[in-house]
Amino acid sequence: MSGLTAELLLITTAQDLSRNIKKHVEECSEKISSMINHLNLLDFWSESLVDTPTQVILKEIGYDLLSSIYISTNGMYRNAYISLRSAIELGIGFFYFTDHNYDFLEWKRNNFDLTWSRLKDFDKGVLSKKYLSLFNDKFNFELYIELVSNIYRECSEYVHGKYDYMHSTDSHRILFSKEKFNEWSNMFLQIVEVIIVLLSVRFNEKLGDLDGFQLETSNDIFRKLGFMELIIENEY
Amino acid sequence: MNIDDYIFRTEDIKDEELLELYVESKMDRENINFIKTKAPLLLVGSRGTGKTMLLKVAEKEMDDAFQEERVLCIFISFKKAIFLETIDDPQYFKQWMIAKILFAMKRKIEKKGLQISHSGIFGRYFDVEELLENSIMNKLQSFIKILESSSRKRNFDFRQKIKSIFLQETEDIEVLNELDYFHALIEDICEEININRIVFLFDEACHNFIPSQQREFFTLFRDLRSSLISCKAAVYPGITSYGTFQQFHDATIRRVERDLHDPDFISIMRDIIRTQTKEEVYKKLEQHGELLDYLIYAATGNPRLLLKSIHLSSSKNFNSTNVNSTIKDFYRNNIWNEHTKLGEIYKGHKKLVDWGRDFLEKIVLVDTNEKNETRFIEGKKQQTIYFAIHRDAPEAVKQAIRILEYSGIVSIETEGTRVRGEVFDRYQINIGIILSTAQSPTTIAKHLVQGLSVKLYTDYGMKSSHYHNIPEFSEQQINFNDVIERVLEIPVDFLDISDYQRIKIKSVGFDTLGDILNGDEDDLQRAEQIGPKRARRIYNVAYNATMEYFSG
Repeated sequence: MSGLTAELLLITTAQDLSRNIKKHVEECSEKISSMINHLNLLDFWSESLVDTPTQVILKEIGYDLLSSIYISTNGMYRNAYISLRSAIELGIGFFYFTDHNYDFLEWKRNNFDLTWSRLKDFDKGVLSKKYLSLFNDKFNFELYIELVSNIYRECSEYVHGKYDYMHSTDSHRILFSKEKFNEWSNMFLQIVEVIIVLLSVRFNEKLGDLDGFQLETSNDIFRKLGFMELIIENEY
Repeated sequence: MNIDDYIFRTEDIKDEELLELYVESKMDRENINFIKTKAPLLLVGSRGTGKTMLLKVAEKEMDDAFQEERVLCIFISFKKAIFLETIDDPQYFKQWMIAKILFAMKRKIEKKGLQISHSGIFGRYFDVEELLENSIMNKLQSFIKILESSSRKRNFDFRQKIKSIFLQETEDIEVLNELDYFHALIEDICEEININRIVFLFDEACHNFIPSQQREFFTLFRDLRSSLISCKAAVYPGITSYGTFQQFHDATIRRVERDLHDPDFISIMRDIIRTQTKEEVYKKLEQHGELLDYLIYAATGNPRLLLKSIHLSSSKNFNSTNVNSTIKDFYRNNIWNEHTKLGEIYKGHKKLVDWGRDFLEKIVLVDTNEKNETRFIEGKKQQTIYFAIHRDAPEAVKQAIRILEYSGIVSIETEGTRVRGEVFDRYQINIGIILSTAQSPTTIAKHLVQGLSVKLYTDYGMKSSHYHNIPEFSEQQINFNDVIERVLEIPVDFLDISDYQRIKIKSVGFDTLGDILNGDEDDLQRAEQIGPKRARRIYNVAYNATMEYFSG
């Protein structure tokens, strides 16, 4: 005779899911390492912006991204995209609140709602020529706006449960899929990259605090996305 | 097409695009295969011939095969290898080079995800610090730090510091040097990470004009070799004729060049253009295939010159008038301007740079054109772009030719060819330069190219009268101090740092580059709110400003 408890159910199925993690680690280790490196660079920025009141938002983004790694390596890809969308929203939102302190204070008290259309607003938003040219007049803001808009649009498809993007249309089991993971991790990387780009532009003076490795990783990101004007000359 | 759309230097190509832009000839494939072997290799070619591209493609192929082959390929560029303080201190230069190599290795290991150096964000949410205790990456990082510090500070006790990371318990009976530690560390790394073999690819391996650094580099190149390590270096021509290199002749030398007479030559050059040109533009060029081919021959197989000259011509209508003016503009002015600039930066070489230009323009080109015109008038097919210099010509003459080689104006065609019992080196002149001396380059181009014969050339003997005004040249004459003096006087106002930082460092007496470079990073920290990392950054920026000057 035996019985099934909630505890046994949860623990057994968690073991199942952890087998997914193992598969990811075996077959996608380079992608995972890339994500970890990117995340650590973002984390470094979070720590160094200690004097910025909005620092807490940047930390939350790090947490979102970190947890999304666990979610996706368990095989729950669509849900991992939802975390990514939160990360990009908060990511751009971070810059908004950094430079709109009053709105930030209201937001902390739940009196202000930050919408994507506000972030994109050409006059008051972050994804605008007006804002993005404030810090570096060589910055290719058009390219940046295009990249971020595409990211947001893609992630939103998952969040809104668009039919083609649902988990259930494919299979009912929570299974490892290298293809899905690769697609998801590319999005993960892009999101961290666009945040790093804007951090480097907005907080230019902090670039001096990056060590040789971090500078080179940043340069790789600039090169990859096409922001050659941001490349930092480096002894290495 | 915008000039920014063309990519002239391989370093500017994104990794993903590399293979898209790469056009391979048979020789290129042979070179790449050789790069992947265990044997030491020197890849020789003047600027713009494609050495970096070959190294990068080889690196990518080895990276892609890593899972199976476990061969780790590390690319190291010594572009910024001019180290003011250590110019007369070879030991420190050596330590600096090793530090740079290890840094590149650490980066590659991390990038490939083979090891992780710090807990980062995970350490914030989980207890993972203990996983990093005694990690091989910590050891590597400490070693790098010690080498860097040692190479910068004269009174740094290297031996003492290194003992602590390599845990030497016994007293020094043997004096171990950096290389011994280096090799021990490499063994540990290879074992830990399961690496079969490491290949170091050195790009811009030694700057042509600093002999002491060349010697140091080649010594290191030889000493790095082990059962686990193979070294390959991309160098400019003329390097191998330095006495210092001849001692280490166990490296194979392979040239990067494209043989004009190869049946695939035109199609390969056309492919290089096609990968970098918009389809409509390329079609326009292809419609005037003959004119396109003249531009291709003019570049004499050098992709950089090819792309630059194509860009110049594609902005106007692609017809013979404009192609003619392009050839004349580019090969009379542009290419020579770069060459002359060398003399302005390296004052010690200026006389040779200028003599080389005069010798080529006023003597060699004249003799060459005369031979070609005579045969043309006589209805003979033979044409030439070749000349030969006696092996025992004055060293200064040979050095002047080497500088021309470096610029891509001439290139070695055959070393050590026998002429009337004497030994000569035969060179070929860049075809564009010859064409540019004509009224209408396109008119003579076909005949020139079709009639090329290495049997026809002008030779300049051991004591040719044309050498009479060669300036004196000796290694000691290279007076870097002049160049350095000028650079050290550049005021801090020109540095790419924030105004805030500028005010801070000026406040503690740093007014010029010299103040910063002759001082110490620590000194910079005396300025308020300039902590160690910022000081490092400012120091690096000062270095790089210096680099800009030297690399011209």
